[in-house]
Amino acid sequence: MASKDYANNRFSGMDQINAGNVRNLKLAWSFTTGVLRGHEGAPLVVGDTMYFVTPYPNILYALDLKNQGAKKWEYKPKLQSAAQGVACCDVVNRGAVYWEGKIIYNTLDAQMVAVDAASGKELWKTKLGDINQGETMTMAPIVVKGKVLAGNSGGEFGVRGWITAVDAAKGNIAWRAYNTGPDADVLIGPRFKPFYARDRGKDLGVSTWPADHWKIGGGSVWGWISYDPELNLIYHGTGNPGPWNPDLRPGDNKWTAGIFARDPDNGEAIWAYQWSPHDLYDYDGINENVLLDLPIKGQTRKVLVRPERNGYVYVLDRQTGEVLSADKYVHVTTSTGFDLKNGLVLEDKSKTPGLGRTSRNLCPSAPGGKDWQPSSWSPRTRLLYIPHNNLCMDMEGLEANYIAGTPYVGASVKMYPGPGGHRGEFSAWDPVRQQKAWSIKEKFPAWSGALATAGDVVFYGTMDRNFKAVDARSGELLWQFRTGSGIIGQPISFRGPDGKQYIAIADGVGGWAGAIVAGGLDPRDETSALGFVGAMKDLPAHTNQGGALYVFALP
Amino acid sequence: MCSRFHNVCGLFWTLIVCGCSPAVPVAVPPPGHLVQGIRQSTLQPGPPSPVRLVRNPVEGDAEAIETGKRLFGQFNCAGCHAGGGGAIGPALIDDQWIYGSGAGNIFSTIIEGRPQGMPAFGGRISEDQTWRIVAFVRSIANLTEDPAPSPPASGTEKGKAVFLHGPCVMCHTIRGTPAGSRVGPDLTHFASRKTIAAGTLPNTRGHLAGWILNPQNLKPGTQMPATLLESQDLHALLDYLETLK
Repeated sequence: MASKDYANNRFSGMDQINAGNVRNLKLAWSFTTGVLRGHEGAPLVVGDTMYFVTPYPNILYALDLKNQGAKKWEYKPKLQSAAQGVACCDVVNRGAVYWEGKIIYNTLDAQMVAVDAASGKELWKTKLGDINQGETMTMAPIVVKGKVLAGNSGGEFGVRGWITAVDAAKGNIAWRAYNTGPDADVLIGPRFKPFYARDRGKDLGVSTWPADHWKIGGGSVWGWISYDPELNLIYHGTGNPGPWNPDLRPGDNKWTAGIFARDPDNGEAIWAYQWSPHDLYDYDGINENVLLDLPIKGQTRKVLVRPERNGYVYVLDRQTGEVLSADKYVHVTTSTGFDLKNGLVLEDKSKTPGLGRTSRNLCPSAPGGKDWQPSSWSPRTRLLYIPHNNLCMDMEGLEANYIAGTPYVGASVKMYPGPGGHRGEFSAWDPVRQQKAWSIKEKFPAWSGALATAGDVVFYGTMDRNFKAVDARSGELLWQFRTGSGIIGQPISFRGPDGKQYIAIADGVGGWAGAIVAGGLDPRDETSALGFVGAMKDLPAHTNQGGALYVFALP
Repeated sequence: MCSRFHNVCGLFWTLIVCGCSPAVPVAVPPPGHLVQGIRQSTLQPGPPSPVRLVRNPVEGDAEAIETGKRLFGQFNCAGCHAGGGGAIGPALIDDQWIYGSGAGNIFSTIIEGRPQGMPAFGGRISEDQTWRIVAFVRSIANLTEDPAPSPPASGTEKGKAVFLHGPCVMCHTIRGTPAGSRVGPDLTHFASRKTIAAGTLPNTRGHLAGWILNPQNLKPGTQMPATLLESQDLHALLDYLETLK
C-alpha cells in the first residue's frame, strides 16, 4: 500500500543505507512516465516488480527490478477526459494497493480498477462516482479483510462525501458510508459512541446544516485510511464543507472536517470527531492518522497522531476519540490555543471571513499547516517527520451558486509566506514531549511525503528539485540529488531482488501547490488556483513540468 | 433556430456550392456542399482563403462587460479560471488560446465545451448571456481593442467579400487579395477586358451576370461552374468586379 503499513508509519526497517554511508547513494536507474502533471504517487514494490500509477491518464506501469526497471507492461484505463475539469487541485493520483495478485487503484473519473499484477490484464472495473456531480478519485486505496476502501474527492464541487468498501475479488460494492446526511446514510447506529456530547444526537448530519444543504455539503474522503487490526477499526478523515464561504452554511456541518472510526466489515461508525466544526478556512480533515502506542502520563495509550491542517498536532485515544493533546506545529493566528476540556481549538472570532468581508493574516492558510503530504514515524528516534507549509492568507467570502459539476467555493483567497518568508518546512515532532525536535526551512511548501528508515536517515523531496536525505536525529543534510522536476511524490525504501536496499521517488511538480507550473497559470492573478498562485509566483523559475521515477542504491 | 444567432449560425450553416473542374491536376474539393466553421487553425490546405470572423454584438460595450463579469461569477467560470489567471482551467489573461481567442471561438468553447474538462454550457445559458461573458473574457485578455472586422460598408466591399468567401476564390486569382488559385483566369484587371467567356461575349454587366449564374447557357462545355447567388450578392459582386481595372 502507498502508506507502507496499516498504521501509516511509513517506516522502513532496512538499515543498509544509514547516516554514515548515505552520502554515497547513487542513481541506479530512472524511468520517465510520459505524463507531465503533478506526481503525488508512491511507487509500489511487490516481489521483483515496481508498480507506479501516473496522474491522469492514470497509466499503470510494471517495471522489472531484476533488469534496471525494464518495462514489463503498461495498463491504460479508458477514462473520461472531462474528469480533468472537475479535479480541484491538479489531476493527481496518490498510489495503488496490492492484494492477492492484483494491483488495485482509483482513476480520476471515479472508477476503481483491478489489474492482474503479473500480466497487466484488467480484471474488474467499478464506477464509484459521477464526474457530472463533480466527483473524482485521487486517493490511494487500502485493502482490509478483502475489501478495498476508498472515497471521493470534490469538496470544491459540492459533492456529498463518502467512503466505499469494494469486494477486492470481484469489484462489487460491499458498503458505502456518507459523511453528511441522516444517520442511516452515515452508518451511525447503536454502536456509535462519540467521546464529546456535542457529537451525540439523532441525524446530526442533517440538523447541523441549513435545509438540504448536506446533500451538497462536501466531507469527501481523499486522504489516508489507517487500520488497527486489534480493535478492528479503520480511521479516515473527512474533507472541508462546501462552499468555503462559512456564512452560506450556518451550523457545525457534520461530519465534515473531521474523522471517523468505523468497523471495516460493514462501515458502521464507532466514533467521530470534528477537528473544525463549521470550518472557516478550508481546513480539510483528511490528513494521515499515524497509529502509535505512546506513554502518556505514565500509561501506554493506543493513540492516533494527526498533524492537522488547522496547525495542531493532535494525539487522540484511538479507542474513544478523546483528544489527549493538541499543540501548534506551525504559526497559527486563526485560533488562540486549545481547550482540552471541550476538545476544540479556541477560534479567534475576529478572524472569521464572510460574505463581502475580507479577513486578513489568516495562518495557516487554506492548504493548512500541512495538506495531504504524509509524515513518517521512526520507532528508533520516536519522532514524527512532518513535511509542511508556512503560509498565511487573506480570504473574502463571495456568493456561491451551486451548478452540479462546476466549482462551488464562494471565496476569494490570496496566500503568501508566513513569518520568516520561507514557504515550507520539514519538522521532526516529538508527540510525547509535545514539541519540535528540529526543523528545516524550505523555500517552497514541503509538498512531498516523508520516509524514515532504520538507518536513521529520513528522506523527502522539495519543489525546487532536490531529493534530500537528512539525519533522523539532528536534521543535518547528509545527501541530496537534483531531479529533473520538482518533487511532490512519496519516497519509499525496498529490498531489491539482489537483497540490496533501494530508495525510490517520483518527481513531477504540480498538485495544488505546483498548479502554477502544472497548469501553466498566470501569476498576475494572485487568486489563481484557489489563491495558491499568489504565494508561488517564482516557482516556474525553479522547475518545469516533468514526471519520472528515480531509484537509488549504494554502489 | 438561427434568428437570434446570426453570427455563429452564419458560420455553421453557410453552405457553399462549388463545382470547379480543374484543367490541371490541382487539389480542389469535390463538388458538393462546402462547410465553413469557426477556424481554430491558421494552417489550411490549398491557397489562403479569408477567415470569416464572427462579431460579438456587444464587443467592447462597457455595460455588457460589467454584466459579463457578474455572469462569469454566477456561472462558476471563476471557479475554474479564477480572475483570469486560471486554476482547474487555463489562464484567460495570457496569450495562449488553445481553442482560439476570437469572439466566435470563445462563444463556441462556452457552448460546446472542450474535451479536456471545459463543460458544455449549451442549453443552460442564453445567447445574450454568453456574448456578455465573451465580451468580459476578451476585455480581461486585452483583446477588445483589436479591430473587429466591420461589415461591408459599400457595394464594392460587400462584393469583394462575396468573391472571397464564395466559390469564386476556389478557381480565380485577384492579386492583392487572398484569392490566388490558377484553375481559372486571373481577374486582377478584369474590368479592363473587352470580352468575357474566352472572347465569346462583350464584357457588359448583363452578360457578366448571366455568365456567373449560368455559364453553360452562354458557352456549352465551359469549365466555369454555375454560381447561384442572391440578387443582392450578385449585384455587389458585379460592382466589385467592375472596379478591377
